Amino acid sequence: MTRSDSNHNVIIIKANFALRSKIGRGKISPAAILACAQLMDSNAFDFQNLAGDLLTEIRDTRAKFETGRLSDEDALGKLRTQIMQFKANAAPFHYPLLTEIAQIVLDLIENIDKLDPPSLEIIAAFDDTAAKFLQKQIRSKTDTRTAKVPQEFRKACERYWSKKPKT
Amino acid sequence: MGIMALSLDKLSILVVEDVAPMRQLLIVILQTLGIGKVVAANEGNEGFDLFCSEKPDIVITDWHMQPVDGIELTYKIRNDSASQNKTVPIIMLTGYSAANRIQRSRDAGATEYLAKPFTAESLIKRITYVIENPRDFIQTRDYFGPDRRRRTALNYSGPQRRMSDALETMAG
Repeated sequence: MTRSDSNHNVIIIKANFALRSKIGRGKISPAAILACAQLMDSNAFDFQNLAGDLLTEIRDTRAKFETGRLSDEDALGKLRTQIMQFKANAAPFHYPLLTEIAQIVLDLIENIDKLDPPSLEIIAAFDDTAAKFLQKQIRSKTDTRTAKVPQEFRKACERYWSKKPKT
Repeated sequence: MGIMALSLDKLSILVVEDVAPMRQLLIVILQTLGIGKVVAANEGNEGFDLFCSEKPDIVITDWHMQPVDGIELTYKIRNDSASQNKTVPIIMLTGYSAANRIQRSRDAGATEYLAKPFTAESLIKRITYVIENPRDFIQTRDYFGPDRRRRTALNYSGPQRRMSDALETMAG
């Protein structure tokens, strides 16, 4: 059913319940949800290749920016995508710490419009950290040697913002 | 009395995701859940072709893909003359979570947004939500998609722009 509002050039199409009618009402069984969760936890995909490609892209973007071949805007656009992909894909493929650190760095670079030396240092630190985690296959969030790394990145970002306001 | 179960075997879902292992993981999760038919594409052009040929009940699309990304795919599904179901539920799945990204997704016509990394439970919740809670669609000069008003602001004192608002005010 539609209704029009000619004063504001709006047509409202009321919600279609056909899909709900098609599959009925009810719940998804907890067993099915558990099976899906276990499937995610046990997937055997090796994140190393994907992560290696992303690190290569990050390094390439940094090098091009630092030699004047990319503008701030273009370099930031690429870095946001590359680090977002780390954030999105590391945890499902068993590197949850990398997702956590990528989120911290992404939160920084999504709120700046220029790459300055301190932000480039943080991105370089992310690069180094990710490379080490992958090389040593550091997957656990509870490993005491690495559990504090996200906090170090948070502190670095806090220091960055303490010296300048968010744009 | 037993819990009634949804007939997920009657459901078909299109997954559009360019990262191959993530695409495969999504397919297997949906199949494990009991979704009757799962089809997949690795970017927006292929996704739109499959959307037209397979007529899925729900679309789950990643944002960042090339050459056609999830935003453009969503816009095509909502507006292209070749789209045969412009009101299909579309779940935008992406690693971006900033508010302006969510707004862009919404303004392209996405029904729901799910930030990566997702859990099996959060994905399933989104799917069941779009099934259980279909939304009105709005057609204006500049937009076709789900009603973007999701919340009722009890203390809103700004202008009321819809005729229905005026009617509700008169009725209240």
